[in-house]
Amino acid sequence: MQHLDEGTIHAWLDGELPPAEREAAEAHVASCDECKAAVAEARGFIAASSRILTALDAVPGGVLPASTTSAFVKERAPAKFTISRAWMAAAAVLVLSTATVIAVRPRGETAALAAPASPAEESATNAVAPKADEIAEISKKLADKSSQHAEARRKDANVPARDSSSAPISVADAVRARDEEPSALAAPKAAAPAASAAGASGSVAQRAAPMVAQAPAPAPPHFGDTATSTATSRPMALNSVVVNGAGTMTAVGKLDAAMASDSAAPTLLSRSAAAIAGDTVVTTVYLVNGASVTLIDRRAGHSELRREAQVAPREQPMAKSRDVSAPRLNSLTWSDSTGRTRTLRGAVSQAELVRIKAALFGATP
Amino acid sequence: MHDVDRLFRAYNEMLVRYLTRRLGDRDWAEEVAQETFVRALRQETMTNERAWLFTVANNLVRDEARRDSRRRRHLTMLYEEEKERVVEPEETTIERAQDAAMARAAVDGLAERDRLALLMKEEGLDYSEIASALGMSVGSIGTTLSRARRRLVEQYERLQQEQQRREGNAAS
Repeated sequence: MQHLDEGTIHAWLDGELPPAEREAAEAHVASCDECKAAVAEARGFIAASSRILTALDAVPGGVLPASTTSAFVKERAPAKFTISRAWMAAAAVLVLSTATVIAVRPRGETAALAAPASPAEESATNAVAPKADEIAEISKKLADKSSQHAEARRKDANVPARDSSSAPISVADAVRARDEEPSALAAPKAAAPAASAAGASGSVAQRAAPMVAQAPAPAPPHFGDTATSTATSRPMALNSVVVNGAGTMTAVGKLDAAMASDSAAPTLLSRSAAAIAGDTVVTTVYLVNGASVTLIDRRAGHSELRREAQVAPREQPMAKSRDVSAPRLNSLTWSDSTGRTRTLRGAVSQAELVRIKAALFGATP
Repeated sequence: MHDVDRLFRAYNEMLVRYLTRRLGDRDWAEEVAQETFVRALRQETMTNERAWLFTVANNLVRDEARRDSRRRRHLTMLYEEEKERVVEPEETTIERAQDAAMARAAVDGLAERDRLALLMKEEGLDYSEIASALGMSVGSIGTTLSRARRRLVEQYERLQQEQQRREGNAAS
């Protein structure tokens, strides 16, 4: 009988021979010493190779950086930086856009942006993060509407029109024009139809229209109405705020009279204290022969003082109806050795403020 | 769809061991094994689960090796560097390191087909599965394995003798 080849011996030892071949191999090996030795050698190879392969298991794990070990890791790794960069860019655009709108928008435009008058404007306001071109478009519309409105007013008032080709009207121009002529700009608000079909979702002017009795000349509402109509309700200028005049005499006259007589000593009318940005601000109103002069006493925060001055007119409606001939408001600010900052404000001259200051605090407060 | 949980429990250990022995890197082996099971999720039918898994694992290793052989060399270098830093019990460090190094050298000295057949057989795959995974006939597997075992042992013994000779030279 032919001897078993090495492959057959390994297959027999591995249990891979078919039953018939296995029986034949067993019978041969039992009677063949050469094949017995070959089988013994094969058993040794099998055992030795298994032991050698087991030595390969002495491989430490976790010693390689996971990010560089395999392409599979890269495939499974989440794209953290891509996502966060995209969101950061979107957030930056949103912040810049919002800041731009706030900076460019004339005061009172919030209502118009919230309630657009046209589909185009509505689409612009529906955007979560307005783009720069959208902002520019809105600004251009505002400027156009404001210029159109100013044009209409000038025609009504027989004022020569500005040459728009040589000097295009910007948003700032429109705002400036609105500030310069608040009463004239307020007229279209009164002219807005009370029962406008678009009034339900229209501008502030449209919503305010029913409050205005007997609108003389109905005019279609438009986008620019909001910017102009809110001019009358915006905070008044500083010189219309603090000093409240009373009586028939002007404030200057009253103060002059008070100073002329020795009875010019300021009389305390009211005093209130408030905490603003961590500082205690004491506001004192003195009466000087019928005219009031306000003293604001705080340790710091000039910006807060300016903000108060802008907010104040809402609390002092009388200032809106003050006499246009009232003198210019002056203020005197100084700091003392304790760190306090005091501001004396009134419709008097600087020299008169100094005199009042001396009356209140002495020559060197 | 196959029950991947069952496949994983049944074959992950042997697959990782097989790949570890083949690649010399357990992390890499585990990643290839996981990817193999991910591929199994997409496989509609499997005639022989174990053969299929080992075939896919072999292909993944081969494809990745082709795709990024340079990274493999880098990993090998890192592994060798790291291996030098690994602190193990004193009584086993030298012996195990020598055994592992010689075993690795002996296995690497085999032909690719012999090596894979031997490693798969060591994991319990039968001849038909090995033949399926390697694209060979079942009748040739016995011969392949016998050759691989003999060469592996002979190579290992030769390396041992060289090591002993170096140690003897160093001692003298």
